[in-house]
Amino acid sequence: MIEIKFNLSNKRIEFSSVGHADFADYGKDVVCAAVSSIIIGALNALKSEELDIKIKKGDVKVSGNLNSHDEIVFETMLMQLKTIEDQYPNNLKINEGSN
Amino acid sequence: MELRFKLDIQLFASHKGVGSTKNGRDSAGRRLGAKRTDGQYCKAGAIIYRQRGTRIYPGVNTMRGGDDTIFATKAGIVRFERVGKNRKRVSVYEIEA
Repeated sequence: MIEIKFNLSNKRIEFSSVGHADFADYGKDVVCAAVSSIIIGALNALKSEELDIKIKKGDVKVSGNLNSHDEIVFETMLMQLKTIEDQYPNNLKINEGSN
Repeated sequence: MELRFKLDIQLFASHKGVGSTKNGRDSAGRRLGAKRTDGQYCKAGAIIYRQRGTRIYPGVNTMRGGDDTIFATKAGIVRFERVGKNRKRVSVYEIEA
């Protein structure tokens, strides 16, 4: 189960994504592939250089202040991840507003 | 456009599926079994049958070695014989001059 914590308030983001999707064996885990692509894709779309971003195997953490562009990027990412959570609740869990 | 982060598309996948096996070892074959056939001539000391345990028992003019190998004690013709219901033995019969 991938656990995501997403807290965006007053233009400050506290984001973490920890765990394993456990949907299938390594190399065939499509849920993991979707989540990985959305998160890494969003991080690549960010304009701000001041954010604290840590990426490790099964563990991504982002924190810092956002400009309006990056705020939209994170809101879009959240919606994409929710779309996955809706279909795969056993593999992805999003906790909003908590960190 | 240079991307800041490279995508690992299995970033959140567990490695459970990719295990290593603890098997995959085997010893070389010991080439057991008959080394002389029935009716074949053999010299004294010739190995007739390699085995583990007594699949074949020693008979006339043959003996069993430390590793259960059956060998001839005299020169002669090899004969595989049945003993009782389900036993076999091997003997060597000397050729009358």
